[in-house]
Amino acid sequence: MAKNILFTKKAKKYEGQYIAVTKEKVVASGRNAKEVFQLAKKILGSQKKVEGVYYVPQKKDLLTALCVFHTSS
Amino acid sequence: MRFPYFQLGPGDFAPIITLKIRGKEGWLGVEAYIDSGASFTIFNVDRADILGIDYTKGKRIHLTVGDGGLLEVYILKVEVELANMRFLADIGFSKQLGVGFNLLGRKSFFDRFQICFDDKHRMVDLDLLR
Repeated sequence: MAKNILFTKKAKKYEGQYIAVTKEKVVASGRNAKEVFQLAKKILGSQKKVEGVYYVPQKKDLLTALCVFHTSS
Repeated sequence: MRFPYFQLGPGDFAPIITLKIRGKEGWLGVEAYIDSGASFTIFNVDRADILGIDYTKGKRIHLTVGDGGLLEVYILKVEVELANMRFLADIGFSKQLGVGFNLLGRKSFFDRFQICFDDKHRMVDLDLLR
């Protein structure tokens, strides 16, 4: 089974935010994915890589019709 | 490969999984809601920017969303890693995606994996089609 920090209780406090993750640890968080990534890169320096940038969904996100259809080019 | 649903609250679960996408900056883990009703996979453009992917080089199309509105999307081939498989996938990038998470749609994914939603056990199975 696939596991990720996104699915742990640790991520819950970041609901509605983006988290940058390395080695199963949250390195940075915030409302803007690019800024979170840049901040994490700064914190980690050149030795470690940002392994993931994830949005932590919140309940209200799912009150959305998600269907998307191809219509025109 | 089994993926657990993401828990949004007591009794609320959604088929949100993680995968990796590759750009000039290397590989990056991202989340995506498996949306069987979506024709295409759509990521917010911020992920393209992070990875150094020039999404404007992709094919520009318009997709219709649930309320009849149009979504401008740039489709291009991007290397992805999902369920221990690496392959080129058609990924759409949009500035107008109105939800925080990305959407994993049918093109390049539902034709590569048999995807089975198990709401009772809050799991989604992705099995490679042969």
